[in-house]
Amino acid sequence: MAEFPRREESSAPASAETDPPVSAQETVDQLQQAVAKLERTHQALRDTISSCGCPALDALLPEQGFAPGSLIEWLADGGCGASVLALIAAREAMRSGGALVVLDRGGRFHPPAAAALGVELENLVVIRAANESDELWALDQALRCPGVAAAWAELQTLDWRWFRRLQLAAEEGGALGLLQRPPQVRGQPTWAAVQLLVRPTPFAPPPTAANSPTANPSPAAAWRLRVEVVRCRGGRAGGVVKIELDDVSGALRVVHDDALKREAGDEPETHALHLAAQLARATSGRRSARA
Amino acid sequence: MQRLVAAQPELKNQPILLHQRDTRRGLRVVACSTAARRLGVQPHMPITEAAALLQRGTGGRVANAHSNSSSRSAEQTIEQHPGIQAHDTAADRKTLTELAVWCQQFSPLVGWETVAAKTLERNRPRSAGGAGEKSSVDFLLLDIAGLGALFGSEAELAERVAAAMRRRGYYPSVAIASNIAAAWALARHGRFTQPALPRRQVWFPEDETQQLGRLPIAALRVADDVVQTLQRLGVSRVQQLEQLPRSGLRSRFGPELLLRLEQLRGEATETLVPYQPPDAFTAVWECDPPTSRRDNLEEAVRRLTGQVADLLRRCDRGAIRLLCRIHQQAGEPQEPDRRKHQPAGRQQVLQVELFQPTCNGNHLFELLRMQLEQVRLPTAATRIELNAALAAPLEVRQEELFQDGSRHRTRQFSMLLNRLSVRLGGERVLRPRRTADPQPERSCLLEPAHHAPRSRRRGKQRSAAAKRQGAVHRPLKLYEPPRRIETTAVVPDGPPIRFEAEKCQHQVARHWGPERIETGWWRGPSVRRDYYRVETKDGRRFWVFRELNDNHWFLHGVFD
Repeated sequence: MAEFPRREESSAPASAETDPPVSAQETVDQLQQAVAKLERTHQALRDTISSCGCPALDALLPEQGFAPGSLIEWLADGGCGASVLALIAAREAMRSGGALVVLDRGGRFHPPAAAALGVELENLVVIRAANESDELWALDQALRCPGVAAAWAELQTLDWRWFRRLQLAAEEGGALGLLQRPPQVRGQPTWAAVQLLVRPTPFAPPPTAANSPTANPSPAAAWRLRVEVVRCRGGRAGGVVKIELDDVSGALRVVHDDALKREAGDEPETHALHLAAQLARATSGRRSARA
Repeated sequence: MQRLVAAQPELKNQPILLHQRDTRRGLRVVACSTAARRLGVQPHMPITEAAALLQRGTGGRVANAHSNSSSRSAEQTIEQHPGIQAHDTAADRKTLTELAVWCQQFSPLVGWETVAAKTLERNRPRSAGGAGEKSSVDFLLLDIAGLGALFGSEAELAERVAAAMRRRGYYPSVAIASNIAAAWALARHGRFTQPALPRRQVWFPEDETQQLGRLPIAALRVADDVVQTLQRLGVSRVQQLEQLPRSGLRSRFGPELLLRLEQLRGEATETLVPYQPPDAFTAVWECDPPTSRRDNLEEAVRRLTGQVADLLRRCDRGAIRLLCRIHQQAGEPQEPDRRKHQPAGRQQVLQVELFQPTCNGNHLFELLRMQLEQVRLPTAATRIELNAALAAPLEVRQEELFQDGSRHRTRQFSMLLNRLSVRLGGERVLRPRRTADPQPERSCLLEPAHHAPRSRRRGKQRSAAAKRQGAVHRPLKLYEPPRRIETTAVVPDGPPIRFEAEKCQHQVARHWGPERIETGWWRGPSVRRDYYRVETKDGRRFWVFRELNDNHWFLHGVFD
């Protein structure tokens, strides 16, 4: 009888030294982190995960943000706001120092807009390549350089081999590669770590102001965008978040569903209970316009 | 003059004279050879008179078609006579520089000094020009302290110098002494001390002080008027000058005379400024046998960049411009190049311009290799020269023990800009610069990255101003030039309700504005626009404006 307490006492300090995991979930988390570290072939100079500007979107990503040394694909048409989000992400990545390289083959990039979003113009370099191969080579070199924090390019078509090369370059240099692609590439194999689909949400005026079409409702309203995580490595895809881009401050806020409901009146977007009612209602026109 | 004779040996015993334009008196003779002097030519003589003397002396060898006026014939004589040349101080200096570099085989410190033309009308060079021949060229000084043992003795060293120069065609007068002033004086006026010695060389082991005392006053490198004044007073030798009270000398002739006296005696110090040729960072590779294989050339260029980088590093300099010349064999190209007509040049030049001075051999080689890949060699290359045409001092930064990496990143970034500029072209790698222009397409200029960056403070102020305007008030994509859009219905004082852009029709749901942008009349035809930010029913945003002059609507940008 006297032995048992002594054995317990001897075992208690041993457990305090090694500190075993309390639950299976913590073990799984630790193992996941170890696997992720092994998967990353090169220890990037920047070890900090950069946010994408919106905490709600960060929450959808497995690493709570964009890991340095990876490619991010933004799928959007023109005028959808994807570039603004990409530049905000670049601005966050540049917080720990480094330059932003913009590949602008079309010659349409307007730097003051980037400055308004918070990117320092001194750290901005614009490259106007003559042809596609030059542009890809320049992007590859820029991603490889440790002095570059982020590189942004608009690529309509991307060869599989070049894609892999860009991904390896980003891993080696530790830069964040932001690629803007057309939404038709959804479904194609990709080497990007995260693929985001951006669509603007049409603004539905409240029913009270529907009578006067010429009136300008709520001039201070922000730009509503719908961001869907199409693919992400190591995480769950399919997460959707609606964010609002404030025109004046440039801050990104998440829009809650109940706020949308209040504004749109009696047209809820996704509500499980009213699913049957939605199916019965003729909303197919809106769906096809958005798809 | 000796330079001329050395260059053109046929003029050796001919009458030669050098003329220079004097501001007040026209062309004057500056120096003349002994042969010319025999004909009666004197320094400071007008050129026409001297030409006439020469012409008479040479028996009218120079043909004169027109002998109407003496001045014209004299002019023709001036032009046609090979012995009459303009005094070219630049060429003289260049030759003296080469001689100085050549003399470095005898002594590591070779300097050349100018005895200023104003203080002395007759500039007597120390080792160029013998007695009687005048030229306003400077003189060479060699520091031979401790070098006597290498050549046997100091006397032998002097002999060797004199003999070597004579072989090159010059007539030096060489003298050895313990200080600069004494050496100069002895070389020039040494014959006064020991008339028995031959003119070409003077040498003094000891009893220097006594010999120096016998020198004339002109050996002190003072102005002519001082020499004349002293001569009138009866002082013609240094010895006599030294016996005079010093305070009186200073008050009457100024401090310079005393300084020169002290320098002669070795009491005041005079330093020799050694001549340093400008650094030439050049490396040459001879291709033996001539080759046109790409890998051979790359290897050769790699070694050359390594050598040039070493040279640069030793002088703490970095290259800003690198030139690589590939000399090719003359002859028919082996494969006729029909696609691109190659100029029939015998050498190809590759040029690399750098963003920041660098002496990193690997980086330079990488940049050169990118250019080398685009070079086509019709014939084999015989010789490759690499030269750092422009070099600037390197920024030396102390290495920290615990590096935070930011400096490494900055360096890597500038190397990236170098690489991009070399491959894509300097005008394709751009940096933005804000201007004060209200017109949006001109509000920001994109300049090549090679240009000097602006100050930091200005940039920060401007971005603060932009932030005040609003984060998403300017589109990221701007159409250049703005696209004309067809509008169907227009809201009074507002944007069009429907317009077409990006090949589809859009209906405006919301709009913000108008924002009036006007340019000043001083810039030319004024631009008056009312800008609107519109959001369509899909949720896309565009930037349209109405040109107030003609009421047309344009699409200027997309808020992408």
